[in-house]
Amino acid sequence: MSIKTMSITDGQQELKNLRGLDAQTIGAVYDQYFSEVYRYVLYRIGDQTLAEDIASEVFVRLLEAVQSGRSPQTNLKGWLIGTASHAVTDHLRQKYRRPEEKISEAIPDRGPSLAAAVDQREQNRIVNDAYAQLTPEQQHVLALRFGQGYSLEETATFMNKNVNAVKALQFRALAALQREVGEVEYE
Amino acid sequence: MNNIYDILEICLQELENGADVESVLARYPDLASELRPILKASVTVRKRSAALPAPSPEAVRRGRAKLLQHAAQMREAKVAPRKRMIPIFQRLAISFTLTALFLTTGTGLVSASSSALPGENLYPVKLTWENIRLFFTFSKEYRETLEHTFESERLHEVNELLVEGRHETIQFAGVYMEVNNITYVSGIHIVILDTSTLPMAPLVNGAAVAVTGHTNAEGFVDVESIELLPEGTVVPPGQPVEVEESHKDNGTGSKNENEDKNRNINDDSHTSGDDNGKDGGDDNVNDDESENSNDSDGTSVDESNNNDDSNDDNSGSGGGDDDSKDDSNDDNSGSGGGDGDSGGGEDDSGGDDSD
Repeated sequence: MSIKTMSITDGQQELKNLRGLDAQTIGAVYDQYFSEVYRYVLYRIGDQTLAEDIASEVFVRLLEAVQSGRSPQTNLKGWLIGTASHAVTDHLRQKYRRPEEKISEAIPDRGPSLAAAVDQREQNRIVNDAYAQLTPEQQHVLALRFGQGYSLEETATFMNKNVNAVKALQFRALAALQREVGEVEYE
Repeated sequence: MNNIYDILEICLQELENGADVESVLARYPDLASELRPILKASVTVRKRSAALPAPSPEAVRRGRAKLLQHAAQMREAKVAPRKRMIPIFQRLAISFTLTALFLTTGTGLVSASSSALPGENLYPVKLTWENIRLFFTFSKEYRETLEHTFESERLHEVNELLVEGRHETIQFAGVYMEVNNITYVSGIHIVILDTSTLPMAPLVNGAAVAVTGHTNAEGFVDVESIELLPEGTVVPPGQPVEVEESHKDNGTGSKNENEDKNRNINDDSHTSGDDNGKDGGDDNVNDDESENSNDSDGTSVDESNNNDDSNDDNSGSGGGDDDSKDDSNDDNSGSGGGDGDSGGGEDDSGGDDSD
């Protein structure tokens, strides 16, 4: 997985052009960023069709934001990913109305013996379930670092946090995930 | 505690570079037991990422079409609200005025005004009538047709003034061209003076521009200012200048600002209802919409290029606009270019304030 580089002025010209609702620019922005946004959303929710819908909704929100003067301030990709994150969180909140306390150690660890018994699909399900138990912020940081392969610095920019905060957050997110998954090994 | 976070990050990068968990942990024996489950979790989440399916091409196309469709609707909506901002009583007033006009003079006055030129007494009537026609036209397609007609009329008026050698203040929009050091906008010979206000960005052939200036007896327009129009602006091509055919193709459509500005200049002295009509200028946006909505019906943007050569050059000019102007201009153009703040000429008229 390669670490993608990013410029802080990323997408500035597109932003300007977007204001005119120019079809070419809109199409170009969509083509450039859709798969990245989609991938992020899919990582978060694991449902392909839903991810496609939410990802395309993110671009609609972009148009609306640009038109109403709430255009992205830093960079376009960061804005898109951030909006995708909110959209996913909103969706999950709406769908599950999952109480925060569920993200606790109350879920029993799954023992190593389970690993032998389950097939790959079951393993994926366990990881997905474990991931779903994380807080939105933990999901977000894992999706950025490991789903998207963004660097620590990029991730910090996208999350509007400093690098040290992201280091701590990813540590806690991975620890929480591991608690949820238990000792199941995936090799 | 900060330390372990830093070490985790180092370990993660080594894993990403292909190291395995145990060899990475071997470098941090003290922390190995604490880090091991964390690193394993990172391997797990990375694998999860690798297993993600790509979006279906069908879904990508669908999302794209939806987005472009949405953009088209937004352009449409952007035009509509400004029109609705006209209070009902003003609408009624306009209707009454119109009715009174018809009852007392028939359409004689209106038709007599149809050949009026800037500076003539009947010219405001002409503009008012155009505005009224736009105001009461609810079919988008037909509005566009009307606007094309009216905006081309602005060019025609300038040509007439030049033929007659009259000195009048005019504003119009068109396609900028420089051929052999002679500058034209949609076939109208313009002369840029030392005092002319020019955009920051260089004027390039094919750019859509709005010109404020004065006609003169020498048969050209003394330029007061030239503005680059935002990308996507469709302007009337006027009469082709020989030579560069590729640029000639550009000005297929009509241009609002052209209309707006002319109206502003002339309307102020006369009618109060014209401000409504200025909103008609927004329909330039409409022109774009129709193209774009076609795109969004599943065709690609490239097709829009093919349909309308002007897109290329317009977009070029739009870029120039961005460079040369403040954001307010961009916004302005986004909202249809009808606002008074987009250009000095419009400000002069001040007529948009009532919107």
